[in-house]
Amino acid sequence: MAEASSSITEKFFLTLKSSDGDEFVLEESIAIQSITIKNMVEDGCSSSVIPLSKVDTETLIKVIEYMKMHSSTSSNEEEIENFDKKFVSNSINTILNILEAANFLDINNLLELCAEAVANRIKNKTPEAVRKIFNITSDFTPEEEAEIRNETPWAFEGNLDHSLD
Amino acid sequence: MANWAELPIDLITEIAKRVKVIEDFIAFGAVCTSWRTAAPKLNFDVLSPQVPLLLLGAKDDDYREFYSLSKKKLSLIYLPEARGQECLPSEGWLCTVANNTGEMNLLHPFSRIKTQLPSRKDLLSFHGFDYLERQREGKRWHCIDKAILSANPSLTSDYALLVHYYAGGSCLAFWRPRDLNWTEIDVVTDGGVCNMIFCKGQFYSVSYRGEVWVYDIAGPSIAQPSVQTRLLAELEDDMFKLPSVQFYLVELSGALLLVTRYVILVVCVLSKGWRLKQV
Repeated sequence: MAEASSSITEKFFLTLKSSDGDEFVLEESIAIQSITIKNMVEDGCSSSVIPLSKVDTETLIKVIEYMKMHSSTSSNEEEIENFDKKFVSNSINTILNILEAANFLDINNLLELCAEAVANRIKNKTPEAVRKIFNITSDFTPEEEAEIRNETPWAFEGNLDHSLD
Repeated sequence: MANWAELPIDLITEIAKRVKVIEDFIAFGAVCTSWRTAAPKLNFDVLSPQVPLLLLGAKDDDYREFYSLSKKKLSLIYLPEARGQECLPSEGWLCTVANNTGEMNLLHPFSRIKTQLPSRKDLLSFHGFDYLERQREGKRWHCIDKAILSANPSLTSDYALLVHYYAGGSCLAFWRPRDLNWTEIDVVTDGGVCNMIFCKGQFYSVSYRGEVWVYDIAGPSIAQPSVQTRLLAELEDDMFKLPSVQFYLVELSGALLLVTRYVILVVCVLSKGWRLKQV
């Protein structure tokens, strides 16, 4: 078994491949913050390249940055806190891509960080403003829309923040 | 740019769980169908602290106006259940009293969940005043003064509701889920009940004469509703027996405070003062 022969100084490396075909080499101890990758390693599927078909290069770079910062060997608490603050200031599109990747890779604290960041972005916003930010078209039927407006007209008509970010 | 309506539903739910202000949560559910599914009103984290919404006076329609202190704006909420009702707030719920019929309910203003209570007529019948209901039919009538819950009914069925009302004098009664009627509390206090609070497992009241009483209401494991009352403290300073005095019971960092407001008139000089006493 690999574990039996490993010593403290010995490092294992994994190769992660993005959906765009780019390959990234990462220490195994850092990469297994992803439960999905950890399971693959434990199942012995990690000898070759690990294909991450659902994660594009831009997103994977961000996820690796995050995992490196959060791996137990480096960085103190304050550094991590500052990193997270800066991390969530990425564009909403980037955050949502990372959120999906964190879900696929099963990195719980990254998922929580991104979900929190998205929730913060929609504070004080009207549903129209939220739709614009997320590029969502309302799919309510006119009757449903009327019912929602009827129940809580202030959520649409008030002077809530209409700004887009 | 991606259409984020297609985000997996469990991720939208993860986001919705982190929207902590009720107004934002409601706006969240008005974005599109999948977001609405991910943010059912019952999923709202009722434990997250909210800046209070102030309920404004009734107009004769199906909406009630709230002033949001956090957003500094008026919010109109569709609440037909509160039409023609007096609304007494506690724990984010409203104890509603129908002006004409005397029907009483506990109503949650956002989920619109309703729990029926015994009526005002049942309260008044303890004192032989229930005939007043017939005479006053259709007229506005203020007789229920305050209603205090021991816990949020969204979180537990182990709660009690204490009401203060006027029926020939100052009266108290309580109700617990599954009780068929109100249970009258024998009020022996000197001066009418001025204010009430629930704090650390017990109800307290303060009278206009500065008496603080504690009410220990039997929990849900005891089917027979019963209450033990006890005089806890009494203000003896005559200053507090002035007719203008107001008492408030306030919980602050785990301590129960008795706050007094009084006015003294001294030859055209009006002074206002506040006194604090820890009980």
